[in-house]
Parts: sequence; structure tokens; C-alpha cells
Amino acid sequence: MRKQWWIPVLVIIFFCVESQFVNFIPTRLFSQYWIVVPRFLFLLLIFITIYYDKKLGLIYALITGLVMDIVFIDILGIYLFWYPVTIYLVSKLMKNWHANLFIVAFVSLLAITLVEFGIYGVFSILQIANMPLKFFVFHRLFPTLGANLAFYILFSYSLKKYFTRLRKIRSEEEGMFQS
Amino acid sequence: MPQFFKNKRLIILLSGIIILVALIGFSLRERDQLSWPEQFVKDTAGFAQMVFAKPAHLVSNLVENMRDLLQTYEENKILKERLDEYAQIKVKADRLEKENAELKALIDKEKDLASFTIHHASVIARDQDRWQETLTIDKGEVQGIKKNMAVITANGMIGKIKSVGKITSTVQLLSTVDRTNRTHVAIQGEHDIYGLIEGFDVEKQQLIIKQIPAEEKVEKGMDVITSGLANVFPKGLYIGKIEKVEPDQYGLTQTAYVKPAANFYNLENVIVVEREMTASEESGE
Repeated sequence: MRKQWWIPVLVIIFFCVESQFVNFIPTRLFSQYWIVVPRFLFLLLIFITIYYDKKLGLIYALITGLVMDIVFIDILGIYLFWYPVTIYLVSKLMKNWHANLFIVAFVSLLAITLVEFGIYGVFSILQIANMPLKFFVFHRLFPTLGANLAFYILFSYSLKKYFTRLRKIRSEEEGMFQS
Repeated sequence: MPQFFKNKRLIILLSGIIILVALIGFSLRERDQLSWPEQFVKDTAGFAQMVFAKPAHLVSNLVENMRDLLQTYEENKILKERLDEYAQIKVKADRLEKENAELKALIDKEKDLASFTIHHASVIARDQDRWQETLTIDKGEVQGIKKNMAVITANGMIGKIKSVGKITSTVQLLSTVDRTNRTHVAIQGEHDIYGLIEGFDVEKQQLIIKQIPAEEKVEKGMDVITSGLANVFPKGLYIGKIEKVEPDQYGLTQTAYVKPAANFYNLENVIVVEREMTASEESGE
């Protein structure tokens, strides 16, 4: 029972790590013309959704979306919309597919692409960002996918193990109540 | 019609989109102050980020120190050359400062557009989504930070305060692509040439100054500083050097590209600048 209290702690840690990552890593590791966006927290949400609990994933997506809107972009409603919607689509998609790490990697990259394009679309419509599409794809989308894939390769195994264990513990407990 | 209302998911999606549009409309208004729930969330998140910023700064300092050690010999050589010049410039600056103070005393004027007070702050987070380049710093309303104050580093100006919470505030960097991100600047030629920074070229990583009159001679390498005329920033904050000048499409005005002097990455400590006097006050005297 105690084990699942680590989920909010993990969410907070990932949230803070993202904002430090952007300030300190980029120019040294990558070209300064690349824009690398860490979506580690979003990857964590995908793992929660696929390996642990769909509803919980959606709730966390709503909360983190709202917090990110308030803290980072001062415009409410953008992450608040795209995070839950994408998480919902991911959960729908994974219903029919077997959740092994390769497929989840593919789905995660697809989800990140959708979020990036969604936010790019909203900002373009609101005329806040005037980045050409080609520049967006080559200097923002591809480096972002690359960095997040690297993160995925490093941490996916342990995250999967953690969440499948949580689910097992939970189903055992439920089994106990039923019997 | 009843068929339509039975579809719960569709209803949720539609009402979601309506709420989204309403929220965007609400937050895109020109707002002087954040609403208190926003301030609360910002400050709470800022507190959590502070905990993580400390070790990150430590590690970054360590790396920086290592690099400094490796470059010491080269740097020392350059510094020795500069040292002689420095003494001369120091004497000259002292003399000019004294003269300036005396002249100001003559005309009974204590403050001018260039005088300011400073607040030190450290960076606790950066906007990870990178559409609007913003930083979060660990000083807020309680410490006397107000909206629209200029933010500088040792190298030059980096941006302005966008919104203020109780103990944290958000800095909008000069590199943000945004309609409201305008800075009135002076290009230092033979006389000051005024212009407006109207955006940031993401592909070249340079600031764009538009609407410079065609007859003004702007050349590569000229320094760009804040003009102090726009009631927002004090005069004389260094921004960068002109990199390229080109005529606009009708040939009536020129567009200049400015390479910012400050590095917008690896920011740890920044200085928030509060001007002591506004341009309208001065003209009122």
C-alpha cells in the first residue's frame, strides 16, 4: 500500500528536473540552434497510464497540465487540453496492443509528436509564435524526440518494472477483499 | 437529437473545447496582476523548484570551475595585457564621474534616467516548453520586485519581469517571440540613433531592430543600449552589438540585427534593475 505514495513524489521530481534540464544542459551538449524540450514528466504519465491505471493517468495529466499552464506560459488551457487528450488517446490505442517496451516507445514518440504539433498549432493560431514549419520540424521536433528517446532508453525498464509491480500488489489486494 | 445527447464523450469533448477557448481568452487579456490562485500555484511550484535548483547550481559551478582552471593560463595572458589599459581608464572614469556629479549639482539634479537600484536574485527554473522563453527567479512582491523591471546579468540585459508572485517572479527573456516584447533602444553611433527591438530571429539567434530611418548610418559593430525613454527600463543597459544592417523592402527604413551580449543559457544569478525615475518625471521638471 505504501509503495504507491511514491507516484506524486515522482511526478514532482520529474517536474522540477525538467525545468533545471532546460537551463543547464542545452548549449553544451547540443547545437544552440536546436530547441530541445524535455517531456520526461509526460513520459512518466504515459507509463502510469499504460502499466498502472488509466484513470489515475488522466487525473495526473489534468493536474500537471494546469500547473504547467500557470507556472510556465501564463496562458491557461493549452497543456490543460493537450495532455489529457493525448493521454486518453494513448490509453485507447494501447487497448488493442501488447504493452512491450518497443511498442510503448513508438507510442510515446507518437504522443510527444502530437503534443508538440498541438501546442505549435495553438500558438500559431494565437500568433504568439511565428516559427516556420520547416524550422519547427528540423530544429525543434527531431531534437526533442531524440532527447526524449534517450531518456526513455535510460529509464523505461525501471519505470515499467515499478508500475507493473504496483499493479500486481493492487490486484492482489483487491483479490483479498473479494474472497 | 436525443441520440446526440446520449453520446457522453462528445459532450465532454465539446464542453472541454469551450472551456479551453474561454480560458485562453481570459488569460490573453492585458493583465496587470495575476489572480491569487495563479500566484499561489506559482509560488508553491517555485518553492519545490528552489529545492532542486540548489544542487543543480552546485554541479554547474563545479563544471565551471574546472573549465576555469583549464583556461587559466590563456586568460592570464590576456588579462595582463589589459591591466595597463585598465589603470588609465579607471583614472579617466573617476575624473568623468566627479565632473558629472559637479555638473549635476550645478543644475540641481540628483537622479537621471540612468540611475537605478538593484535586487539580486537567483534563477530557480526555466520554462521547459520553450515557446516563450521565461525564467523563474526567487524574489517576488515581498522583496520589492514589480512588473516590467529590467533584468540583467554581468554581460548585459537579458529581459524584463513579466509577472510577479509573492516570493517568485517570472522573467521574459529578450529572445521571446511575442508581440508585447518590445524594447526601446539607442544605437551608439556619432549620435544616438533610436529604434525598437521588435522581435527575435530564431534561426539566426539575433534580435531585430526595425524602423531605423534610412538616412541614419548604422554599421556593424556599433553598441546597442536601452534608451531609457520608454518609461520602463533605465538608460544605458547594454544589450549587444550590431551584426548586420539591411534596408527594408521599400527602402524607407533599415532593419538591424543585434547579437545579444548576454548568454541566455546557464543562467544562475541575475540582477533585477529598478529605475529611480521615469522619463515623464524628467520632462515634468
